[in-house]
Amino acid sequence: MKCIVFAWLLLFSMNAYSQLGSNGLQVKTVPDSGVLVSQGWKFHEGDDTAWANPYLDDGKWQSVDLIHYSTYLPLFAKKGIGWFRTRIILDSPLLNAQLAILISQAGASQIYYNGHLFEILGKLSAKPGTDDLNPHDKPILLPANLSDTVSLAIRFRSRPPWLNYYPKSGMAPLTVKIAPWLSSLNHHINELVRQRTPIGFSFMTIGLGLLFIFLYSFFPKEKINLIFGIFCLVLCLDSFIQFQLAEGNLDIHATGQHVFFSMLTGKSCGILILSIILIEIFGKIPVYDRVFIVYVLIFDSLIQLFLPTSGIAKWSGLLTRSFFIVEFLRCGIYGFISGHYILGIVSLSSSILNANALIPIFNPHYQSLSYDFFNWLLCLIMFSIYLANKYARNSKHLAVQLAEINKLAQANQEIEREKQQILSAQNEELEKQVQERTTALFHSLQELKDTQAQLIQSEKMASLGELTAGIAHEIQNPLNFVNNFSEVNAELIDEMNKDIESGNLKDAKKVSEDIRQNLEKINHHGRRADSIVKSMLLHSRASTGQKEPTDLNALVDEYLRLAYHGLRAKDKTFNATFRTEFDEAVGSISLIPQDIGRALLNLFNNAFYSISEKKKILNEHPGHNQKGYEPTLFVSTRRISGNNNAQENQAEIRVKDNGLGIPQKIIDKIFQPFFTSKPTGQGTGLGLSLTYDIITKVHGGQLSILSQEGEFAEFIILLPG
Amino acid sequence: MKILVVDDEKDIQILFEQRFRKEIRNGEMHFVFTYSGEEALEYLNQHVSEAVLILSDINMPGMNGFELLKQIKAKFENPPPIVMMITAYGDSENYKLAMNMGADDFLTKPLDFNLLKEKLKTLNYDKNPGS
Repeated sequence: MKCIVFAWLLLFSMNAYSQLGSNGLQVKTVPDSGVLVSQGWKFHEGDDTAWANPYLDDGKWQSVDLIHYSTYLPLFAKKGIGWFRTRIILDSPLLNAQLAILISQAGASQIYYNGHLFEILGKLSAKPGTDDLNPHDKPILLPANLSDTVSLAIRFRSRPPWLNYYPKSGMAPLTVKIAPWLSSLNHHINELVRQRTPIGFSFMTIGLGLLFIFLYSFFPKEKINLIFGIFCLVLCLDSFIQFQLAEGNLDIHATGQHVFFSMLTGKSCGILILSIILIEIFGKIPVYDRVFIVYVLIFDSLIQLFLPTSGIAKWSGLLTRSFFIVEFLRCGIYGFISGHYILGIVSLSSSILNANALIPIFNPHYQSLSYDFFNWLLCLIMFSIYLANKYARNSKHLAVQLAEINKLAQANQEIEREKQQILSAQNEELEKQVQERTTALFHSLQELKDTQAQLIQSEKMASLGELTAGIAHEIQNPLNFVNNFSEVNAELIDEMNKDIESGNLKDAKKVSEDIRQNLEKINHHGRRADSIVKSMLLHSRASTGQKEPTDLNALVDEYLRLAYHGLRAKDKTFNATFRTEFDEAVGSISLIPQDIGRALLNLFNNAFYSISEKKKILNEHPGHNQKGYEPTLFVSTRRISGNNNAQENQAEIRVKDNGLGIPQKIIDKIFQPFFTSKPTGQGTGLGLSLTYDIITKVHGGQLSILSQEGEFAEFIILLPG
Repeated sequence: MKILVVDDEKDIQILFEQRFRKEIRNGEMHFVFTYSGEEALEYLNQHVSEAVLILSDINMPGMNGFELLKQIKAKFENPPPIVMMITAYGDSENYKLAMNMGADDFLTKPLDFNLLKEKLKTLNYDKNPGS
């Protein structure tokens, strides 16, 4: 680093090995680095071999300085060819020295030494641009001198104007130097070796570039890898172009575009380096930097391409350089402050190199250092170190993090295991609770079932109570006949005996017939009482659950009478007309008589209750037409035959009353257990529910209702069979 | 004496005819049987003041005994027929109700015909003191 700065400072100091005199350029000493023969030239456009004559009077020719090409280059525009003449006066110590002339040119030329054609560089007359030759300061040994004055004439064809491009300020189309032969030869060989180094460099950079782009493809988050990869590839391109430019053999083809691209790649490298540094130090590329990058890449390049010799190009180049100098300087300072030493070094060296490149704009005689290559190499190495260091830090950090994660994972596993244990414990607890609850529920259910059974039994007993009075009446009636007919029979037997005794056998026979008739009546009514008692017992007994063929009409009639008398017993004022219409075709049906009897009893009781309530209401409100109301219960049976299918045979029982009817809003609820419309204490709410269950669940029948509130209610039972 | 018997039990006719066979044979008593309240009222309307005694059951489908009693007491005032209720419900409640409604007597089933005969005889005597 110090070396670069030192070298750069050295080149600022002016050297005075020669001075321009009236007869020509006075050369006092020739250092190893050579003397630039820039001033003291005469120029004339056009072509005449006579102008090679050292004694030609060129007083009227234009005086030019080769560096200031803008003064003479436009004159080539017309003919493309012109002559330069000068006289070099060597100081006496140089007379015996072996000197060489070093030429760099953009075009083709013929060198005349003291009037004689001495060297041909390129073809003058052939196609311009393709037959150019640039010797790149290749030393040409000058013949040993006898006089102290050397006359030089250069017949020069410039590169065509459209190819005229001079990338570096101060690089004239033609430069001439005088240097000691041996040292210049040495220097030239060294230069040739240096020019070939970019080839190796190219391979290195292309490898590095691909490697980093490859890395980027794995970690797209690390943009720095991409930028660095691109930088490497651009650098590869740059060094390749540099090599092409520098290679003597290829020089004929090294046109202005090559130079332009070389400049473009150079600028791109600068921008990429700056980008990397900005991102690494500041974490982002500021907006003004982006704007300037666009300017440098597009506008400056366009200006340099199309207006290479103009003032705009000069100022644009100055601006570009200044931008790089300032930004690199800023990054360098920040880099050192923030501890990014490597980036700081790269920044500062880049800034210094750019400043160095700026000098020729102000001082055309100054030969700027061509250390770009070394700077790129420096950047490459520094960046590589930087990135390696960064990755090393990252991986260290990652290792630490990994250890922490492992620790956390272990802790997590521990917690997970504990959770699992708690969960399984809770599970067990839950299972136990569920078991307990289930048992409790089962007990509750059992209790509920028992209660239900008890309720059903009490419902049965309740209806039995209702029956008792009716049964009493029903028994008293046959008993009345049994008692009285038997008493009458006793009297009749006495009477018959008297008749027999008196010989009135005819009368006795008549009486005996009466006795027989009475006995039949006694028997009939005795059976009647018996059946009533039996049915009562049947009713109170728990259902046998056995279906048996039963005369449905008889069953309906029996329970209708029981119901009627039951209600009559309770309510003395109650009276109702009941009409029956029994279809003989119904016949015998397989059913559980007690159950169906109970179901019918419920329906009859409800019907009687309804009509008696309606009558009560009508009596309490005399305004109503109560005379026309006749409480009626209509019970009918009917056989419904299926179509050729005994399975579809059904018996229908209709129980219709003209009582209060059932309000539409409760019609859906009346079969629900414990639903009752009766006042509290008068109904268990189980009657219809039981009825429904008996008919639908036990017997597989149907129970439906037709009703109009205030008018009638009709229950329709359908029993299969 | 013409007696109207109202009961839904049809065998009551045979029973009465046998029990009162002597009285019927002698022509002391004449029985008419109807099997519902409605039938009884119809008969009474058609044979005004013929029947001097009405024996009615209480529990009957359709018009019951009390209803019949009420109607008789309301419609047939001159002369008011004697109405006796004969029922299987021998409880005091039924008795009170019947008496309040103007029943002349209240008998329970199984019917004691000896008692009935005596009552009828007394009645007959009361009605026709001379005979």
